[in-house]
Amino acid sequence: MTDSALIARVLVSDDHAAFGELVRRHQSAVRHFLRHLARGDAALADDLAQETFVQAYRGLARFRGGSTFPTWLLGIAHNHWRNARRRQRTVPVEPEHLAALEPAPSSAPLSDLKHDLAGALRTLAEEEQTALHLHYQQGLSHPEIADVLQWPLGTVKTHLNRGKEKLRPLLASWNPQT
Amino acid sequence: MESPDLNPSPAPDDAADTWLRANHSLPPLPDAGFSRRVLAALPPARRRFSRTRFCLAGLAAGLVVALAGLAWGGVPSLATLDSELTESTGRLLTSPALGALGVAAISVWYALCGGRRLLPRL
Repeated sequence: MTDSALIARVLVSDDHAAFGELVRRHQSAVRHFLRHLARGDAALADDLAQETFVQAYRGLARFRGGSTFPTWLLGIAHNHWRNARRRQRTVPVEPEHLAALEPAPSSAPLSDLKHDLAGALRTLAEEEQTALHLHYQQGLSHPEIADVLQWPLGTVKTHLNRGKEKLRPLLASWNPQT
Repeated sequence: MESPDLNPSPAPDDAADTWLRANHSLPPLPDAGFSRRVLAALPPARRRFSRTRFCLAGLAAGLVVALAGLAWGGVPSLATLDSELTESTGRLLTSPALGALGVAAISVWYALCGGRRLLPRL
C-alpha cells in the first residue's frame, strides 16, 4: 500500500494501524536525521522523533502532497530540533555517541575509511554537515533539502559544494579519480 | 587509429558524488519498539458514529413505528394514506415548517460530516 493510501486511511477513519505502518516505514530516516542533528544523542533524537510523528499525526490534514511524505516529516523533525535547541541552548556532544553512529565495519580498510570520513565531516560547518547528510545519506534532491531546511535553493547548493570542497583532500587520498 | 572513447571517465565532481554516496551511506535503523512507542503517544482515535449503524438504527426505528401503527391503528387503505400524505406534505411545505426542516437537515448533516470544510480556503 502506498503512503498516500495509508494517509487517506488515517484521515478518513483515524486508522492508527495505518499510521503505525507509516511510522515503521519512515522512522529510520527521521531518527537518523535527528541523531545527526543531535550529534549522536540517540535518546534526545528518539524523543524528538516521537514528537515529530505525533505532530505529523495531528497535522496530517495539512499535508498537501506538495512534497513527498518523508520530506514533509523531515521538515517537521527539523522544526522540532530547532525548538529543542532553543529551549536547551546547548546539546551535549559526546564522542562515543558519534562513534556509535558509525556503521559496523565489514573490513579493516573500510573501517579506516569511515573513520576518516566521520572525522573529516566533524570539521565541517554544521550547515554543510546537514546538507551533506540529507543529500548523500538520505538521498534528498537539492529542492527537497531546501524544503526541509527552509533554505533558499542557492544556499543548499553553496553548503553542499563547500562541504564537498573541504572533503576533497580526503576523497583524493581514498579515491584518486576525484 | 584509436577508437573513440565511448565510456569516458566521469568528471571529478561526479566521481566525488559517487564516492560519497557509496561510502557515506547509513544502514537502516531497526524499529526496536519505536513505532509502538509512537502509537502509544497518539491521541485516542476519534469516536465516529458509524453511518451504517446510523442507517440501521433509523431502519429499526421506522419498522417499530410502522408495526406499532399497524398493531394499534389498523391498516389504512391506500386511498386514505394517499390523501393523508398529500395533506401532510402540503402542511410541511408552508414556510415555517420548511425552514424548520432545513435547519434540522443542516444539523444532521453537520453532526455527521462536521469535520469537512464547507467552503474552500480563500
